[in-house]
Amino acid sequence: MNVPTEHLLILAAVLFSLGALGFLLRRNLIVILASVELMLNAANLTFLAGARAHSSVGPLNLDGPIFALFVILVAACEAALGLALVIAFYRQKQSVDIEAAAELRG
Amino acid sequence: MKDYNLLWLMPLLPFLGSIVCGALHFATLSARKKNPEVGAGPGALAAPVAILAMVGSFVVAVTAFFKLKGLDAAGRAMGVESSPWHWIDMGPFSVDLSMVVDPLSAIMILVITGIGTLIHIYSSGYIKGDPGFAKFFAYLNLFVAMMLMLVLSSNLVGLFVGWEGVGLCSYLLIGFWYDKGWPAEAGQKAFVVNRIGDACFLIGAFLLIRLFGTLDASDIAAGVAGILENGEQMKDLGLAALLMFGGACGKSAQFPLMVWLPDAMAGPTPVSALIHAATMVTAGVYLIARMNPVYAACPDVLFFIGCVGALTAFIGATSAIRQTDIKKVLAYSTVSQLGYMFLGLSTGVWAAAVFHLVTHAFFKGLLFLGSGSVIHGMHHEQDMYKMGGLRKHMPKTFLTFMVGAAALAGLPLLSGYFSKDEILFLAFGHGGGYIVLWAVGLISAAMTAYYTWRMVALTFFGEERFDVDKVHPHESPTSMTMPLMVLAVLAALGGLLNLPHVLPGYGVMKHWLEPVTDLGTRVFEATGFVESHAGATTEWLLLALGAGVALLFSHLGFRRYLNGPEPDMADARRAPGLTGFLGNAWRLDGIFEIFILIPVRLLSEFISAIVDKLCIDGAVNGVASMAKLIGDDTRKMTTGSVKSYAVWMGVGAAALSLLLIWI
Repeated sequence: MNVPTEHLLILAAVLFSLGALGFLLRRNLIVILASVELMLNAANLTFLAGARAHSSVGPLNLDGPIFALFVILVAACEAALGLALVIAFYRQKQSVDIEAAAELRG
Repeated sequence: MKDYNLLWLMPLLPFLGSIVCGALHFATLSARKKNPEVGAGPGALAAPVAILAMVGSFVVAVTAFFKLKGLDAAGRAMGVESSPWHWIDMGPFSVDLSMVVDPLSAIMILVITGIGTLIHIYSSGYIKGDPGFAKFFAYLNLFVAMMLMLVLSSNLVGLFVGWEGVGLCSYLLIGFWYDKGWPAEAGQKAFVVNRIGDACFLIGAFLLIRLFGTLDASDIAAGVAGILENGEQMKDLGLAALLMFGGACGKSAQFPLMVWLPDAMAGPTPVSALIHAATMVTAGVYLIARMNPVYAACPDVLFFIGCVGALTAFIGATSAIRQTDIKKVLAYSTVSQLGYMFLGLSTGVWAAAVFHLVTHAFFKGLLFLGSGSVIHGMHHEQDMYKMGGLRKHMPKTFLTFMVGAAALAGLPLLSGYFSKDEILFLAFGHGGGYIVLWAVGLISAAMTAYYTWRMVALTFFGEERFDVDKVHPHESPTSMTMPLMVLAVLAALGGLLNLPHVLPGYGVMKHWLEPVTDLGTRVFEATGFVESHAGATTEWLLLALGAGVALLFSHLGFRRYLNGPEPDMADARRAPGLTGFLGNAWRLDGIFEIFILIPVRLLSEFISAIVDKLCIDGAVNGVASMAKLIGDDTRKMTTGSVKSYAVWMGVGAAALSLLLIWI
């Protein structure tokens, strides 16, 4: 059974919106990082869906899967760095609440 | 005669002397720092150095004079000249500066270096013991160097360098005792008032460059004849002549710029004698005599000069009558005598003005040095009301002062008599409007005789109006009385230089100056200006009239004040308004205050309060407060909340994407 490309794109959009809302609305830093992962994966899904759609009408196109691989790589790095920052932030503030970081308020 | 390069030595020697004296002054200062009791220290050497420089300069002047005397008329017109220094080269305008001794500058250099040497010798006695002994001679030598530069330059640019140089030295020497306060202010006043004249001089010089393309005095003289027919250029020439006269007004203390000269008496008395009587203040007279073809081409300007001169002579003479300070009497008298010189110039007989310049240098230099001797003997007392009877205490000063006073008053056969009556005779002989100027000049001459003998009577005659036991007036040292005696001889016999036309051996100086003045005379022939119509009978009558007036008013002034200054008090009771008016020199200072100083001050207040505070400070502070205002609002965007940043970033990214899609 062949899932239509539109469905994949709708799913990606829903995932991205969930991630974005989670990023904006949640206060826990770890949940925010998880939301970022969700958005990145929504983008991956878009890349792969696009690659599949292109390949079905023409020659094989691997741009989309390769881009997805790069995004996974960058997401891994980002997760490592982000979690390290969260630990550092916790040591500083004894909290992982994003509202605690407001030193630069003008 | 070209390439007589010894002439450069004349200004150079005093200039070097000035540098050496300046170095000695600094040496004295550092010696004094180590040991305050050192006194004159190395500075004591300054007097011999300065006097030696002056004597050297005088010797060069005399040799140049004899070199010139050996030439024929055509050679004298060219003058003895050094090789030129190619100074400024700006395409069509260039300046070649050389030192020229022609008959006119020969007279000037002899007066400057001769009287200058005497006054240097006098100063070594007068200024002895002053902490600034070496500094004084440095300034004095620099002054002589600049003055020689002024009269020797072949070019108006060089003349202007000297012109400004003597102004600077005048400022420095008026304010020599600056720590007393008011001499410094007097120096500033002299400098600022002179600046008005100097600005006029410069504009006049620029006009001359436009007309003739050069500032070389002889080239200008040669060029005047070529433009006599051109109405437009003659208008420019008239304006240039007027502006140059404006410069002369500042330097030579003519109405209305004469207010600085009486205040300049704050300087040491030898300075008053050298700068403010004998040499610097006559620079304006020299300038006009030097530019005589230009003025010959503008008879209206000449008449205007005569009016200013006569008015100045009158104001000076009337103001001198009511002065109590002996130096102030002489200062106003100098203003008045300079007025006579300009009256003499305006008659077109330049030699008459130069003759009065020379005799005035003799007798006024003598009177100033005499007054300095009195002030020295009286321990810095200048008020004549507190003098009297000094003839017993300082006989040498008294006798020489009498000679100077007689010459100034114009008593017959003395130098001042011949030179002043020559000018009055020429004004009378010219006729027309000049008759009025003659009348004003004659009245001023009467008052001159009056105030001169009032001064002598108050200073030297009558009872001592001071405590003899406490003050101990004493005769001055030989270094001071010797110059007095030399000058007394010159003041007595100076008239021989230029006897009136009706006497045998007449007009020596007039003939001597002819190579220079002929240039102007030739222009007069072209314009139809006649110097004087009067004949021998008129001259005899006017000589007799001048002698009579001088004798009568000398007698009146002398008799009235023989027993002290009480007549002054009586006058002040009878006519307080008039005496106050004259005592304050026609309240010219007050008029300047109201019409110039107060408006300038108000304008400055306005500029300070409105333009500076509001406009300039407003602009500067406005930029700062604008930045603050913008910052106050925009800083609110920095909320410190990561979420709002994320929203902004999202909105920005969305906006950019939309932009990319639509474009």
